[in-house]
Amino acid sequence: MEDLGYGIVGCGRVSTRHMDAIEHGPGMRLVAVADREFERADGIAAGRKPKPTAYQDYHDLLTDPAVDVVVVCLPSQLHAEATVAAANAGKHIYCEKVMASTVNEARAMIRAADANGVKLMIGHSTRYHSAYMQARRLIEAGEIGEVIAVDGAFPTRADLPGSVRPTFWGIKAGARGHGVVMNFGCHYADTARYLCGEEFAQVGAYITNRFSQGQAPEDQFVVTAVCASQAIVTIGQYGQVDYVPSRNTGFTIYGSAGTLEAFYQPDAVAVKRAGDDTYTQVAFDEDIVAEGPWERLHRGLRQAIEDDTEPSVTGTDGLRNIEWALGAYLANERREWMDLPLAEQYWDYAGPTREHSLPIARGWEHGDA
Amino acid sequence: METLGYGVIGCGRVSKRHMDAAEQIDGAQLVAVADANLEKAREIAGQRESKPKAYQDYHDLLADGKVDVAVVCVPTQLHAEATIAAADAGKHIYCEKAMASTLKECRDMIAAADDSNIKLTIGQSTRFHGAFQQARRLIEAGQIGEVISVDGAFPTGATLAENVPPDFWRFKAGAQGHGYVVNFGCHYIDTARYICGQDPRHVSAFIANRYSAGQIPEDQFVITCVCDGQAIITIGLYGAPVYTNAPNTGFTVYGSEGVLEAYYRPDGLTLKRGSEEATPIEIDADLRGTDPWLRFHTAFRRCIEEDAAPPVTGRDGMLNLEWAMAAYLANERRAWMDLPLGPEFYEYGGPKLYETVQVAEE
Repeated sequence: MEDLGYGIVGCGRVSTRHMDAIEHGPGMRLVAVADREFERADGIAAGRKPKPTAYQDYHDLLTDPAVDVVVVCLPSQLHAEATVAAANAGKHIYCEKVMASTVNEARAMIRAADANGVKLMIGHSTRYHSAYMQARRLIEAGEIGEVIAVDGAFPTRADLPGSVRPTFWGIKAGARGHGVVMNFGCHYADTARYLCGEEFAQVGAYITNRFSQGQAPEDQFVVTAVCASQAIVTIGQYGQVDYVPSRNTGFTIYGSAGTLEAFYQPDAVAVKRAGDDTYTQVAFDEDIVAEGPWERLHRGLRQAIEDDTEPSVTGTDGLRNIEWALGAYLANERREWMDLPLAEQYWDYAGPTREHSLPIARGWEHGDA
Repeated sequence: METLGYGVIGCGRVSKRHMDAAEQIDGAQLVAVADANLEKAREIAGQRESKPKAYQDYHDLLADGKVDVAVVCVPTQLHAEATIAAADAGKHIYCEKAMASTLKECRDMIAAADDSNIKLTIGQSTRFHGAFQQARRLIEAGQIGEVISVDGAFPTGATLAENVPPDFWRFKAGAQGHGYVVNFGCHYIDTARYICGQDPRHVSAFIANRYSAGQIPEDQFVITCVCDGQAIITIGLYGAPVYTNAPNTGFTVYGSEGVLEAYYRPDGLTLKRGSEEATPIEIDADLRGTDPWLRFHTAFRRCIEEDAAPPVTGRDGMLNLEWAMAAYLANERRAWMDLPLGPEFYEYGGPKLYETVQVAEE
């Protein structure tokens, strides 16, 4: 496989994972990085071997012919602009989650990729955690019959971790819809869709801010989505004052012929078939543990480019995940179920306005990503 | 403690537990049973050690001077009539869950008990399971801080158990609102309310019949409610064609400072505080080795003795039914319902579920 050149747009905290994955990935070579804060881009480039070219303006990175694949790590509200520009420059794109702020933005990204004949992948890495991959394999093998319900529970901290500055773009005033429903929920929704193997038809939600007034836009949610088969996906995030890393963080999947527990555990999932007395631990397959989620995503995209096939997480996946989140915000505001996919009248909806509960300075400071 | 006479009205499957309790607890004696089928009443009375009197008409049982406490085990749609008659006859009442078919019936039952100054309790026995009682104690002691969320998951069978006749009253045509939401859900919401010490204010629901069309009214639901103290209670019932009996059937309770797991199985209680490992919690000695019905009847007998509030009040039974009715309404309307439900819903008896249920008339 020929080496393709990779360019990273945005040198925030997540970009390191991509650089690591690219440097170790077959057929990939890190050739460029860009950050609005040039010293930062240059400093990060200097730490890599061989040293990629550092750019301040990502448009310059997009005109660099050494770049074949662009990894978009900017704040979510800039994903659409950067992705469309990259597609128009003929680059394949790996865009971080959350895909975009609105349905219209996500659709424009998909259209731009299609029009330019480039691959677009969205960085939903959570589905590739070993437990979830193993769970999906067991479900596909019919171990629990049809999926009846997916119950995801995610305790987390209600306030900002000490390492996150209060001006972090992910929770800033003006960055609408960027609470935990969007930022974390889109991963859980993606993983649930992957586990069920089907799409949501309607969504209902309760979302609140109980402990984190003035810090995060919301700290608690329970979002229920129902699929066409009537499979029910409930995802709860419970922000705690003192975070308790619960051992059963993850998904319990109830099937017509068994139950599966897929938690963030190191080496196994648990399956119980009808008639069994207890759960059986099913160790992760070797090929699953051989590779981390980011390595898997990048290798998948590289293979999709090579074979000219669909990436493993498509733009449509990213769109369905933000529709789940935006549908949840709407359902909570309107106190009613929302049909999915969202109707056209909601395509510019970007989530609730957060300004009132967030006394945080306006404007985006790039260095904080 | 003086011995009170217990009369059991309705000799169906649940009545045995109450007869056992009336024969076993202090200060109680089983003195009478009644069933519309007199032969059945006689047969069951004949099997009991205490040789209670058998009646066909429960009004005759209520006129029996030996009966101090009436245990109402007739089908739900007859609870109000029997409970009000018992209250008017001056009997204390243990009425099985679900309390009644409508909120109006519940209100009438509570008013009748108040007027006659007798004790009324509703048979929400699930909260008396050891793991759930212990969970409540730990929460009251502040072990997990404030309750953020109660997540209850109940896998069950989607079809009728083989030992349940298809004309079982719960599932019969015309018995509205008697699907799993009312029949099982009222236990789960009662237990969740008990564990978190809060009452629902908004209810949202998805209710479906996926596998059991023609047998039971509904076999799947997820009902989410938000409580007066901001706790979120999610209760899911997942009916499978082949029942899996998952070991984690019960509640996970997320608090501001810890997580509690309270499952049905004997070792089903664990506590996790902060970054500690989850620790199995032993059930207190007084909650061990006694079945929920005995514990419940003991507590009810004591409240009569002490003229105190019953362990489960008529209001509790009504709030549980209100949650179920709000869930049916929320599902039909695809919108949240606020609690308490307004007077326009007092006579709402749940959806007409039996258009899909093909059950032979008796």
